Amino acid sequence: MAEVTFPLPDLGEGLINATVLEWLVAEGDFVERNAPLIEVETTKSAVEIPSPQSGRILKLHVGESEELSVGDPLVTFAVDDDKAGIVGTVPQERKATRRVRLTPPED
Amino acid sequence: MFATAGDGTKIFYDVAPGERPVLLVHGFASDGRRNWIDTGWLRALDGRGVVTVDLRGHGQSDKPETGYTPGNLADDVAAVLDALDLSTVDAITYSMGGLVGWELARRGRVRKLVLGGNDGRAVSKQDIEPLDGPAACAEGIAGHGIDGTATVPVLVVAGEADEIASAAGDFAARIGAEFVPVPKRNHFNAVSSRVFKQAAADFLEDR
Repeated sequence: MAEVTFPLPDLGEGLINATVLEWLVAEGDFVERNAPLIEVETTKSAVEIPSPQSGRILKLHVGESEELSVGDPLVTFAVDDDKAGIVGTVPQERKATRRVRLTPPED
Repeated sequence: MFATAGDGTKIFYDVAPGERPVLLVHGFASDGRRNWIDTGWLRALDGRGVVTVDLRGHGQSDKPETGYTPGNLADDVAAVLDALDLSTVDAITYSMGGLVGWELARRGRVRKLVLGGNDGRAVSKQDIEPLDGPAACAEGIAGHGIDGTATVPVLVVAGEADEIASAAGDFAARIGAEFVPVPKRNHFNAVSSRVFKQAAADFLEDR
């Protein structure tokens, strides 16, 4: 079992603060990836943030009506291992191999 | 994608594929993405298709100087429905979008209508200018409200602290609609609430 903490993501439009309107999950809940997680309000609009992760909720780091900034801890999940959330394999960095000839062939 | 309105204005729309598409019409000074997508409505309507539209003057649509009466805006959305070959859809609207949905219902293009954050009262330019939306649109919709009785089943939803739609309960009673209040929410943060989403989904699915 590993713990994974997610911060408040960048909400775009240059917004750096948000206020919690309502948590849509509770500590102890099992949440699927992309299920509704939390509603927050910025100066411009209300936004629903989906869960970035499948797993059991260990801790909600902010309460309703509290304000937080982008990057502040939002939620901690318990997940099977620290690779959960990545589907398939991560491509390896590999040096590019040249496939075209740069000089014209000699006749 | 874009549909072309009668006067050549390009109207942006986006489609999430699925059965029996639901039309989502945003409010003044918003757009399809901010009103509906960022607020989680695609997840809430999971399984059904969704069509979002940017009304003229908003989002990615053209911003001409004229053509902003509710009738004009309904023409634009009808052009989108035509482009998608949809004769009749369920519609969920917010605030000013309700004027458009109501007009489309009157024309037989809407099967069931959800009016969010709208109590039918005519808006004045002074009411909506602080919202920093397109001035030509504020001019076009000023003085227009929702009159008459419902021609299709209608659900009215509004935040209990919504000052723009503070008479939503009385309005719903007057037009013969169901009414669901959203506790603690105002005009700007009722849109994302799960009370609103659940009420709309239940209403559309006859639950």
